[in-house]
Amino acid sequence: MKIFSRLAVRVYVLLVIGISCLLILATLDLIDISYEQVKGLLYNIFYDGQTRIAVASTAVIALVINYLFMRSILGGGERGRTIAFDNPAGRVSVSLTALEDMTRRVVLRVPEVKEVRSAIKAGKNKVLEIDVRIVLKGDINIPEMTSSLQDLVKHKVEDTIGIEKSPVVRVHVSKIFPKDTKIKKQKESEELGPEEEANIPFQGYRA
Amino acid sequence: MREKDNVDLGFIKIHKKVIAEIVNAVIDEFEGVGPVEKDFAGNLKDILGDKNFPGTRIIVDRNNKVAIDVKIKVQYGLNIPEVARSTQEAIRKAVEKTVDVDLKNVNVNVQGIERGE
Repeated sequence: MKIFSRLAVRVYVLLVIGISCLLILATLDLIDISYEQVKGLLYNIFYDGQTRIAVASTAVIALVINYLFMRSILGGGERGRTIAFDNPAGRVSVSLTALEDMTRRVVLRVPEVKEVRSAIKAGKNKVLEIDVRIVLKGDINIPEMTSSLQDLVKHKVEDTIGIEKSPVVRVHVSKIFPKDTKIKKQKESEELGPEEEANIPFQGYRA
Repeated sequence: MREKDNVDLGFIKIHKKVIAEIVNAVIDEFEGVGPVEKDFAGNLKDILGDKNFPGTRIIVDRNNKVAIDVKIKVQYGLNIPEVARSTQEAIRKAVEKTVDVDLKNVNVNVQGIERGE
């Protein structure tokens, strides 16, 4: 995102500089733009397929860049999603997005978890509500596994931000990938292997 | 825009950016803490030659008291309240030592958790 943002800034600056220079040169009568040329250009945009695509793509890129620009100026709606506590030196606020990121990382360390999504919100009575959606791999005891996962997330969040009230951790298992699919596939490929090899006409050929 | 100080020979004005630079230097050097990345507007300002410090805001009130709002990233695995408290203290010490301003408070906003354990 950082690279994309930098690239977008460069394109944006170049675009603005280009348009500005063109307008300045045109108003100073340093470049000759006639009505016929403008008309010809508009005609091309409307009736020439390639020009039409080029202009449309430029417009879409400009729109995306402007949207990014507007989002970064207005804050992208991530403001306000924080929890805060006061220290003698001042206030400390922690972004809930940061905690979500941390939760994701903690859950992904569990070997049985394949994918994870987490959402945290500050509920009533200053209790954090953590929703964890996971995709599991293999046949496992789900109640046992989810219970240990809940404890893990709860303790990690408590240790990290040192809150007084324990957070509520809700785990939602959205998918389970059976463990034997991989083994089956491996067996199938082993079975198919010799047949495929037999079809190669010049196997083991040396020049 | 500037923190003013009256001495016998005249005024000493300290720009907010000076304080922001000190704050950023503290964050850069502080273990387990990092600055937030520059966003689109920050990159644009950089290209236009305006040196900016993302996530650092210096507020000077009517009584010439300075408040600092700073956004940081904390390394994964650390205790956020502890890190935030020590960051606040380090910033306070550095700013008071370097520019000798009347600091009201140092507000720390943890925006992300950094990888790299």
